[in-house]
Amino acid sequence: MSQHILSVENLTKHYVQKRSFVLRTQPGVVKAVDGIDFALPVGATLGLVGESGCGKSTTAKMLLRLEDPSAGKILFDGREVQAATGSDLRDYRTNVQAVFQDPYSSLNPRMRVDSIIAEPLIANRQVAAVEVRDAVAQVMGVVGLNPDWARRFPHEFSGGQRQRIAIARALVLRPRLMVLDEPVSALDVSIRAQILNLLMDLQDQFGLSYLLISHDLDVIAEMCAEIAVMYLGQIVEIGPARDIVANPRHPYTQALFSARLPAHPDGAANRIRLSGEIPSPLDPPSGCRFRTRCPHVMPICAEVLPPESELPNGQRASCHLLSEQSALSS
Amino acid sequence: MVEPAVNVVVETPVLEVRDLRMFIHADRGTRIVRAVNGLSFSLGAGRTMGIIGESGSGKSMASLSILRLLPRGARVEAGEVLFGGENLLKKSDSEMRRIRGRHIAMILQDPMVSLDPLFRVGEQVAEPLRTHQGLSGETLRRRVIELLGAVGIPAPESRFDQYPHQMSGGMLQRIVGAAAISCGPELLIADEPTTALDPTVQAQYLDLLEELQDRTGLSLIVITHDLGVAARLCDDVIVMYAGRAAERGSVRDIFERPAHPYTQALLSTLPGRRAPGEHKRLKTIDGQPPDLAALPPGCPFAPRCPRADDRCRTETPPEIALDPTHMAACWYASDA
Repeated sequence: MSQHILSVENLTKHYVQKRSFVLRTQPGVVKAVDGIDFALPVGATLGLVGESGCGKSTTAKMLLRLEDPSAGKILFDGREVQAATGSDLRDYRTNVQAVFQDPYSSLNPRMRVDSIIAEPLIANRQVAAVEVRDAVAQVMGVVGLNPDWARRFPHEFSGGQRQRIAIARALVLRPRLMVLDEPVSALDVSIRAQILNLLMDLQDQFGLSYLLISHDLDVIAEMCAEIAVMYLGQIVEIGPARDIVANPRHPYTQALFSARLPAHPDGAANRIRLSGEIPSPLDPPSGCRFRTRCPHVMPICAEVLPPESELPNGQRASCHLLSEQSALSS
Repeated sequence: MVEPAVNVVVETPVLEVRDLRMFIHADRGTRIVRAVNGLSFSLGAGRTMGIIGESGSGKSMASLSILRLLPRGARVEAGEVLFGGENLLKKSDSEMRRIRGRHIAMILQDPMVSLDPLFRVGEQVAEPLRTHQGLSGETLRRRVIELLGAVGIPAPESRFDQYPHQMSGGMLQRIVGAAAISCGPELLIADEPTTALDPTVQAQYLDLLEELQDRTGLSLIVITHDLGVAARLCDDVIVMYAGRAAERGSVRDIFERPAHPYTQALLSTLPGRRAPGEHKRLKTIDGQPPDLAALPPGCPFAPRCPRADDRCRTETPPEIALDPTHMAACWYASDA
């Protein structure tokens, strides 16, 4: 039994783009995810942050086996997921469940709540009807839904309740890992806290591990023990959430967290303004991918991909500034 | 001692809303949804007002009432919307068309809602200039390129003939910003400008709003659910609940001296403001916002309020002034 429920090594997804006269695209390779490594300890929450197009959702799709990696490995409980077939694959799909952002489009409007929640149970196992009914009622109670509402349709529920339905559906198979893709981004502020609390309670109750994908840095800071920051398909910084929030080391992480909205009118100072836009993943910059927007760019950044430097607290960042510092201090 | 709220504004306000009430006929007129139930505020020149609320608080309907862009079945029942001293609610449709886009502009949260994917972006920025100022030809093109440059679009000449799909989200926000300020409006209304935007794009967008304001001196109304946006950008804040202003004050009043239990609760539910990974429960506000078609008697927040008593459940609290610029609609506002 590994201490990490999930680890990925050199995980890569390249999409081949063909030339199209209609869309005026040139042939090329979109490097959506380009060699990432991380490990998620059992019972912990790892946050994957980054902006649109950084590869965080592609990573989630590969973990859910909705996309095949172009290279690299996904290990669940120390066993390679890509190699899994038959009952191993079914086990994996039972153990890894997902909750998505929008509880309006992720629930079938024509299905009643009990069928929605029972669907994964029926699809993955042969269970007697009476057991299904009990399991649904039980899991509805766990997520704070009144089991008497089982015969209602999704439109009869509010946004927060719908997200509870989505969580119940993910939970009904008793998974060990949940991939939470922007789980509260579509919810109102006063409902958001209820759902985050529910997710934290479920983690304690069932020992769940979470991979939490969000662009909301407040949610990430609240929920995660560890944070991985992605930029253009690569992880630029990873480590304990406390340290990354308080003292980010990579210039991109610094810029990202400085863009966080203040909690108070006095808190708005010192934002690092990045120039330009995220480059195309079709043609990422040489060397460090962040160099075209980095306020500290040096000549070496265009030539050499910065190696990962590790600090004593376990925080790791890929930046030449840090490798220089560690070379000087050693 | 209960005193009526007084709104002290030193200069003539650009916009003054007095006791605005509007409703929507829903489900073929069988239900009347009271979306705005007596909203009053005034906005000074060059100032930024944040209207904060959750879905169904009436914040968007309030802004659409000001612009007279209400959906079918919606009607303003009472109140006044004074813009430059004139009541917009009394204007004819054609008068409103001359005001919208020229004197009052609006930016929506998602640029792709405002932009037509089939037209070149330059043409879309040009449209209000053609309509309101009668510009055309090379003069119009030059003016548009100037505007695109002014909102921070690099190489604006080359962008004029591009289509929206060829540009990034942040760039499209700037295109919409350019169209909004093209005729030099006195008031800009930004509706939910930040939902589901990436943090740096969001920060850039708020910068853009600030830049537009610095450049033109316009007054800004930002409609948002995010208290952080108010902290970042606003001078004054209205916290809306069930179609009313639960609390109104300077941004400092709201953050440092919140007097309404709803504002206090909202501030305490914000995630991510403690040491990360502390893994303790967040404070929550139990229950759901009320059904606007069946509002309870008394204070609309009473069913969710920890300190509600019998009076709260029967009598609607008036706006209680705490100081000349700060008011809260709560019977216990002055005890806080």
